[in-house]
Parts: sequence; C-alpha cells; structure tokens
Amino acid sequence: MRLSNNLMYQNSVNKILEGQQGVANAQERVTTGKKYLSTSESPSAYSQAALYTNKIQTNEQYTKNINQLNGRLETEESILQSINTTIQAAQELAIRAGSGAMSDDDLKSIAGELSELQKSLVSLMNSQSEDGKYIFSGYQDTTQTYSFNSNTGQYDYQGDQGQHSVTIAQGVNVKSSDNGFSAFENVNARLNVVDNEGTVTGSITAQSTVYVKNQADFDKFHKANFDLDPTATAADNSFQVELVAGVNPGDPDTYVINDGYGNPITPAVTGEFTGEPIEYAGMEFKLEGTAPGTFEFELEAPHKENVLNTMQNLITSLNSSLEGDELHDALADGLEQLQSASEQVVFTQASLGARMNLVESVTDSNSAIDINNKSSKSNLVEVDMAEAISDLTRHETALQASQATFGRLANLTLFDYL
Amino acid sequence: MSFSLYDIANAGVRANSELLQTTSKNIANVNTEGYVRERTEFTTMIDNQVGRGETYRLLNEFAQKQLNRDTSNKAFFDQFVTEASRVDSLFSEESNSLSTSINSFFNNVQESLNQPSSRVARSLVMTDAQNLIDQMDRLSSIVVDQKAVVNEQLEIFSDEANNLIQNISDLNTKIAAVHGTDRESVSSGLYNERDKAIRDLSELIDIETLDGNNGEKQVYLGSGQALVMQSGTFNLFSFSGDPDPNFKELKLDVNGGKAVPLEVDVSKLKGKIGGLLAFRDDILVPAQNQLGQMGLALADAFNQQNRLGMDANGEIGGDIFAIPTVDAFAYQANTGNSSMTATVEPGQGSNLPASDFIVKYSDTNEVEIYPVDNKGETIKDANGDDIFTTAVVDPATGKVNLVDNSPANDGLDLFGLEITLDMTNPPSVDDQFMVKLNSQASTSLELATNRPEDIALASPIRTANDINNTGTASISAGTVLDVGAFSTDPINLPNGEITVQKTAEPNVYTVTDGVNTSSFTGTPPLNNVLQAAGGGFQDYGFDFNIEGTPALGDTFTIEANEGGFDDNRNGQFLADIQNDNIVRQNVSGNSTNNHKTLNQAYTGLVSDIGVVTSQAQTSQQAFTALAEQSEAWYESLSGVNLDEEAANLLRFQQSYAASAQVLATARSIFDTLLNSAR
Repeated sequence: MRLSNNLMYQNSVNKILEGQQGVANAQERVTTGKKYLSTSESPSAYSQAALYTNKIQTNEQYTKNINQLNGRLETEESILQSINTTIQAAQELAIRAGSGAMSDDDLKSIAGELSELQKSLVSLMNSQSEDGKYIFSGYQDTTQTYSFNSNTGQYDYQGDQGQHSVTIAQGVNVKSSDNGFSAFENVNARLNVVDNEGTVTGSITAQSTVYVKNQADFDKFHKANFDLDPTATAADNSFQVELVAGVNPGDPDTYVINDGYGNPITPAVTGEFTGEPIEYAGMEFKLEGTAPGTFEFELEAPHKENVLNTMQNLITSLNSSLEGDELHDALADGLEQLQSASEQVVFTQASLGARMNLVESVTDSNSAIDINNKSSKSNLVEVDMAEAISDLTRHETALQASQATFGRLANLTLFDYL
Repeated sequence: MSFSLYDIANAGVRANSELLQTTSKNIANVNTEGYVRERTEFTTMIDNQVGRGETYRLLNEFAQKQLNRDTSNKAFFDQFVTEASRVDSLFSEESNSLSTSINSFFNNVQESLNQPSSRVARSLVMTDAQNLIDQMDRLSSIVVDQKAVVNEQLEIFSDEANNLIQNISDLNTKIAAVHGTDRESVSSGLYNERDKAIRDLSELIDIETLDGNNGEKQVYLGSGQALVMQSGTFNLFSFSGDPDPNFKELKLDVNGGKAVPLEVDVSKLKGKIGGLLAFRDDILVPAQNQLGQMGLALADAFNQQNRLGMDANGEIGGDIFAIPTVDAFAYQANTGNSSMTATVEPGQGSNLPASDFIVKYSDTNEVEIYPVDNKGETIKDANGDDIFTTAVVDPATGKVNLVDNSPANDGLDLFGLEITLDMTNPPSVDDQFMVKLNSQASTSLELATNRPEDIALASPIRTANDINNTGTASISAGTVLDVGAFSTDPINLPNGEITVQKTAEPNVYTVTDGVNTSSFTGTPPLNNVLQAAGGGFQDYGFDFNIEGTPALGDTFTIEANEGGFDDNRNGQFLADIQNDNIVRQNVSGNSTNNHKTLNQAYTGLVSDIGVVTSQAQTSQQAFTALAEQSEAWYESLSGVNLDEEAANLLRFQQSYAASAQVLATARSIFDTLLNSAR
C-alpha cells in the first residue's frame, strides 16, 4: 500500500505516545504498589477487594469491641471472686456461731465480725466501673445497685434485669455484664413456716412451737403441699396438728395431721401423743398443754433473699440473745442462704468464664479471618513487584525502540539525493 | 513542419511546467490539513501537441465515507473514555471511598454501644455521621461538577457543529458556482475545505453524505435527519431542558426554528456530542441517583430505628438525618398551574429505586407513578409494558403515600415516595411532573441534630421476671415496632407498667396494666404475648415472648426503661443497619432478594462505572484500529508522499528540459534553414 508522509509520521508519533503512556502506567504501578490503577482495569477484582476491605474494617471494630469486653469481663470476674470469698468467710462465722458452747458475748462478737463483712460486701456489690457506672445495676448504670432502706431495715436492689451486650463478630453477641438480679437477688430463701408459734385452740397452750429440723424432708413436704395460686387463702396453705384425748380414761392421747380446714390429710397421719415432741415431715412440734386442741401453722411462700439481707437478719439474731431452737432456726436460715448465695455467685462466675472462653476463641478466629481477608485482598489488587518491574523494563525497551526507529525513518528522504 | 515543432515544444514546456506546478503544490501542501493530492494529466492533440492539461484531486469516495464513519465512532469512544476514566479513577481512589466512611460510621456506632452512657463515644458517632454526609457530598459534587462541564461542552460542541453546518452549506453554494467550469481545477481548495468541514463535523456527530447536483454534498445525521440540504438550506442544533432546565436534550431546529424541533434519538448518536451524552446518561445520572438513593436509604433506616429507641435524655428518639423534600419539575406542556414536592415516606426508604420518576395526574385525585431510566424513558417489564403504579391522592392534603391514603393505597408499590400535590391549584388531568428525588438528595442530605445525646441507643422498654417466680420461664427483652402510643417526658408505656401472670387454669394468663385487662390461653413458649392477649394490648407497638414454662402465679412485668442508659439494645439494631439489605436494586419487584446492603450497593456502583468504562475502552481500541485502517486507505490515495513527489520533480524537470531542448532544436533547425537561404 502506498504510504503518505503524514501517515508515516503520525504512526511513529502514535507509537511513541503509546510507549510513553505504557511506561508511565508501569511506573505508577511500581510506585503505588497497586495492580490496577482504576476500577475499569478489573471491575470484578475491585468489587471483590472492596468487600474484603469492608470485612477488614469491620473486623478492626470487632477487635476493639473484644478489648473493651475483656476489660469488663475481667473486672467483673475479680469482683465476683472477692464477693464469693467474703460470703465464704461469713459462712465460716455462721458455722462457728452454731458450734455450741458460745456465750452471748461470743455471739455478739461474731455478729460484729459479720457486720464488717457485710459492709465490704455492700461496697463490692455496688462496684463501679472506671467511669463511675454501677456494674451490677443492669441498664440503669447510674443507679446505685444496693441501698439500705431504713424503713424496712433491708437492702433493696435498685437496678433492673438488663444485660449489656457487645458484638464481637458478625452475628455473635456476648453479654458483657451481669445484673444484680441474676447474680445476687435470685437466691432462694430457706423454706420455712410463717410463724414458729402457730395458732392454738382448745387445751393446747401458747408456748407450743414448730421448728424445721430436717430441711430436706420439709422441702419435699413444702413443695408437695404449697399452693402457688395467688388467690390461695391462708387456710389453703395451713396445716393443723390435732390432739385427741383418749376415748376411755387411761387410753393414750393421739394426734392427727389435718389440712387447714380441719380435715385429715390423706393418707392419714396419726400417732400417740405422749408429751414428747412430735416429728413430722422434718418438723418438730413441741406441744404444751393437753388434748383436745389444735396447733395450726402456715407454710411460708417460697421467696428469695439476697445475701445482704440474710446477713442482716443473722446479725440481728445473733445480737438478740436467742437460745435453743430460735437460735438454731436463725443460724439455719443464715447457713442455708449463705450457701445458696455463694452458689449463685459461683454460677454467675461459671457463665462469665464460659463467655470469656467464647471471646477467646472468637478472638482467634477473628484474627485468622483477618489474615485471610488481607491476603485475599492483596492477591486481588496488590502488585507483584517482580512482575511490575519487568513490565516497566519491557515498556521502556519498547519506547526506546520506537524512538530509535523514528529517527531513522525521518532521515530517509529522496530529497537528500537530489 | 518546424512551425508545428515550435508549437509542440511550446506546448511541452507549458505542460511540463504545469506538471511541475502540481508537484510543487503537492510538496508545498504536504502538511496542509484536508489537502488532497492532485495530479495533472494530458492528452495528445491531433497535431501531436500535448493537449490542455486536466488537474484533479485523487480521492476515493468510499474511503472518505468510511473514514468519516470511523472518525465518528472513534471520537465517540475517545470522548466517552476521557470523561469516564476521570470519574472511574476518582471513584476508585480509596480515600474517596464511601464504603470507608460507612464502615467508620458504623464502627463508631459499635464503639458507642460498648459504653452507651459515654458522651465521648456518642459524639464520635455524630462527627462520623457528618463525615459520611460530607463524603457523599464530595462524591456527588464530583458528579455534579462533571455534569456542569458536560453541559458547557455540549453547548460548545453544538455551536461548533452549527458553524460547520453553515460552513458546509456556504461552500456548497460556492462549489455549485464553479462546478463543471474551467475554474473548477483551480478551485480544488474549495472542495478540500468542504470535505475537511464534513470530516470535522463527523468528529462531532455521526453523519452520512449524499452527492447532490453541481458537486454539492448533502449531509444527514446518522439517524436520518437532514443537516445540510440543497441550495444553501440547513438545520441547526439546539439544546434545551424540559422539564429539568439543567438536563439539556439535543434538538434539531427545522426551518430556522420556525417549525417544531425534531427530537434526536440520543442513544444512537456518535461523535463527541454522542460521547458526552452517553457519558452523562450512562455514568453521571446513574452515579448521582445511586449515591442519593444510598443516602436516603441509610438516613431513613437510621431515623426509623432511632425513633424506636430511647435517647440519652431518657426520651423517645427522633430523627438523626434530615431527609430533604424536593420540588418536582413541571412539564412545559402542563395546562394546570399546580406544583409538586416529593420526599421519602418515613420507613419506606428501602423501597426507593435508583431512578427518577414521572408522575402523571391521570385522573381526578389519582396519579400514575412511572419510574424512568437514565435517559428519561419509562422502564418496561419483561413483557415490554410500562411499569407504573396508580395511586390515590388525598384531596385534602394533596398527599400520595401509604399512611394517609390507607386502605386505598395499601399494598401498592409507591417506590418509597411521598408526593405532595398543591391542591389549591389542582393540576389538570394528564399534567406530568418529573421527580428527581435521588439526584437532588445526593447533595442536600443533612444532619437533623448534632447533639450526641439524641442517638437512641437504649430500648424504651425493659422486662423483668418477678423475683419469687418458681417456674423455669423467663421473659425476653422485647421488641419495639412503634412508639406512637408511648407517653413522653418522662417516658412511659401507654398505660403504665404491664403485668403478666400465670393463673391456676392450665395455659391461661392474665395481662393487666393501668387501664386494660385481658386474659388469654397459650401453650409455652409464649410468643408475642401482647398480640395474643388482645384487649387493646395488641396496639401498643411492642411485644415480648415468655420462654420456658411458667409456674402457677409466676409474674412478669414490662415497664418503661427509665434511667436505663447502659442499655444498647436499640443501638445494636442501629449497628445492624450496616449489614441490612436496605438499598433497592431493580424497579420490578420489591421483595427482599431485590435489596443490597449499603456497602454492596456502593461497590456495585463503583464496579458498574468500571465495567462501563472498561467496555468503552475496549471499543475505543477497536475503533481506533478501524479508524487507523480507513485513514491508511484514504491516505493511500489522497495523501502526499514526498519521495514520490521528489521522483516526479526529477522526472518533470527532465521532461521540461527535454521540451526546452526541442525548442532549441527547432530554433537551430530554423536557423540552419535561414542560413542556408542567405
């Protein structure tokens, strides 16, 4: 084909311009470390890389969340540990108080010690985070967790049942706090009767008492017979011990256990009354007076008692110069409830430990995912230096060649020979 | 005989000097643009003299037409790629990435969840919300600036094209005057100029030429409309925008603007003008719409969730983002004087597609809403029918939405819009409006508040199990769907605390609050207790489950979350928006699999721009190669080769010398004859 001068020059110049473009691009790849200078070079690689970038950025936040969460969980752990130690110390004191051969003064000094322990418990359960928020108050972190109500003489829980949670990986929410309700309030009080003195009729006199002596048997009886219906009347949850005088003189007096309406329970429970205490379902009835007559007692509704109030009651009892069954009953309340309180704290610690384990494994998987994401992203959009540099050299060589040929071509003209 | 020798020599010298003249002209014009190589040819006359020479241009008409066509195509893609590459690389810049801003914003939301009652963490969220809006603004201003540049360039190009059209028409007239006369060969410059003007015009827009009488050339648009016609008549381009004055469309003014302008099918135009229009329609318009759509979807979702929570002042949350209300553009053909505004119907942001809309007042108190594509054409479904929704207008307020026109508009796809017509000047039936909510929102989204405490991280309700419950059941944290029934300041449930209690009857529960009482039967686990309870409780806007088996007498309470500032339940939902599918993809179908997350939508936008650019780059390379080919073809005949001309110069110089020698010989013969006769 016939070539025109314009075309020859234009072609050579175009080649050189292209070559320069190529060198500039290759150089930019080397200096920026990017495989692609704009999305249009590889839209699919860009969009994939962008999704990885999102994941990496989100993961960074998860890592921060985990650090925060760990701080919170560890603080809570150590506080719960101290609380448990304190409760155990209180338990030991309660056991010592029940060991017999304790004078009134001894009991009062134990009460003093208990009261110190109680103070430290109050401050532990009202723990605040570094920024002054109450840890165990649930959602209401500006409300003091426990406060002393001087009207009732009890410690009241002021918080709620909220649990703050933190996201540590996509779809993984971990509770970062425990509220006082589940850690301290949710402690069963010892099942008991409402009034140890009961209500007497007939010839049974008012000094009669009933005390729970065998807690396990009584618990069974209570669970089987207590009517939880809120509309239940006192009679529904009451029982009577009825003394019946012997039919003929000389016949022994007998007793029968009735329900609150005076009807014998089935199967019938009867026995001879000899003036000795009657034992039934873990209870010990000490009846004074003579037959006939009834001794009526009411089962106490199941309820909860927090450790502060348990200790408060214990301290009051120890300071009241109680003796015998009364003292024994008060100590039994204290021991059982301290044990339950300690168990509840341990239970909370266990769930805390489980969460800390979860956090640890998520931390590991997060960092593995992070490494994966970063390497995938780098494979997609980051330049392979060796390749980029050889590319640069290639473009340079091509440009040099076009420049050299241009000079030679431009020199070729017939006019030189005219 | 020698007389004829003189004549022959004379004619030879004249002819050879003419040949030399043509060669010199070719050499001299080697760098003249649009110059076509010329050749002079002679014939021998009867008396053996060389005849009158004829100089003509060496031109292959087919090659020329092909070159014009390829020039149009190449110019189209050159223009498109130049513009698109700029947007492409700006959007590819990591520092410009909207995703980074979105992630950073949601990361800060999460950070605030770690310490919901910390003011510092909250104010970081607000700062980042502002950053996010700024970033969106920055990106859309890239687009808006480009749009302004495109508009200006279009004006310039159409002026240039109009000049060329006039020029061609003038030259046609001049050519007609010399065509076929003896002045034609000296007027080759006129032809060159006209052909160059045609080629320049083909660079601006694609054209076809037809040979007319008297050497005139008629020029038509590739789509058939006439630009330059016979005897000096022509049509010019104009740009005007209807209904949006800033969105100009190309028109052809027929008959000097006296007749109705012809609409030009923009999608088929080539050349630089076509390239600019395609860039505007394929990249700028969708980019701006999608940016606006993302902003609106995020703002609406965030606002809605924030309204369901309790802020750090213990009040029900409000809006964080201010969603703009935009004016619709009325078409010039409208006969009524009504105006229209549009915004996103609260809670419907995820139904908004990334398109503009034409709203037609189709009947009294009735509108048809047509989503339109980037070029302003209605969108069709698979069967080729227009997709549109016919909705009812509330005559009192002029509102078209779901809430105010229930049940008439229930279940309709209003594309997330809330339209308000000015009913004091009711529109005439068939009046139309163009709604450009997305594109206008992309630059006008703002924060509704900058107070960090307005972020509603807490839930307005909290639930509690009674301390003395003996069963295994526990109440869930509850979900809030609507807070309209809540009383505020201080925050409270509609009728105070709600208590649920298990009665002695098997599976029967009572629900009571300050006003209502209801009992219901349900087997554990109890889901959506208030819904099951009925008796007014179902309208409270929140609900909860009781998991596990409650024992007789177990009670559960729900109360207002007063003071619950360490609660981050609503905040978790706010943070979840990052991964929620809230950006609608296609106009047809608004089910859930038609939605993407914000990040996916943004990545989609950037890679769409990349794909379009990359396709255009590929086509650009193809058409550059084609244009080079046809240029080579054209130049192979019409271009000047200096070596060839050098050879010719030598050849004609020699023949000139030879002819002169003939003259000398003739003279010497004549002299010999004279001397012999002396």
